Amino acid sequence: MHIQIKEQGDIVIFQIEGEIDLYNSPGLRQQLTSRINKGSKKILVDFSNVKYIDSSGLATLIEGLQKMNRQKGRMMLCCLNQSIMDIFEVARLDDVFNIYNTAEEALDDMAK
Amino acid sequence: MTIYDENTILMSIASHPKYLKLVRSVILQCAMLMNFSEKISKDITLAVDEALTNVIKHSYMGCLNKRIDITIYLLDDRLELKICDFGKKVDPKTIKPRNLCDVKPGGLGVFFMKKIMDEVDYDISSPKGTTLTMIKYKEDTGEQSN
Repeated sequence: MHIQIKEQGDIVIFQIEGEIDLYNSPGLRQQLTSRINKGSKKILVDFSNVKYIDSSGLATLIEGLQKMNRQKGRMMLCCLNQSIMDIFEVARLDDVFNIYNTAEEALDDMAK
Repeated sequence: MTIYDENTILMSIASHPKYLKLVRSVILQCAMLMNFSEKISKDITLAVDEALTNVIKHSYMGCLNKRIDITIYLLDDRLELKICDFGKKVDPKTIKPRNLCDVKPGGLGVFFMKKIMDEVDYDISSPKGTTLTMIKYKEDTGEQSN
């Protein structure tokens, strides 16, 4: 898994490439927590190049979302492929996260 | 000459999460070989990933160099998987999926395993460790799982 972090205005974009499992979710958790602790209020996680996620990855995202909620920030997800969307739906996390089809839609909403 | 069952695959791995991707690859290919759909094959792969994750986290408590045996049976009517560890025994009664309404990190692995597989059974009768058996029937009618 590789994470590229970009900033667009006050929005921090996590572009993740690869598979998110028990092996690499600690790395994602560390980078998300670091950004949240630095006071980022808007985080977009771009799944365009994510091929797989398991419960370790989901737990990392839930933890990040809850931290963001506590500091009145927003964390959004975009560009989930159908396999990953199925996993979110089965776990009923599609209602918990704000999920967008494209990065543009998410960025437009975050800019409001 | 030793005869080996042509429908059985046996893997032993260390309890290091770096091997999860490797095992996922094997499980996906086995499920596809048995003509499960791509969606169900990916689901089975997730169930096995979650089972191994639980072994690493709970039976071996994060130790990276413990043994996990994975046996895959490619049978006419089902894909059967046995995951055997030699770590801390976990009382099957305490292994429960979390309530989905209670949104919190963790607890989803068992939920996925039970949701995806037709049978999930823990055996703690051996002197050391736990053997988990998971079965996915080729025709998921629901009747075969009873």
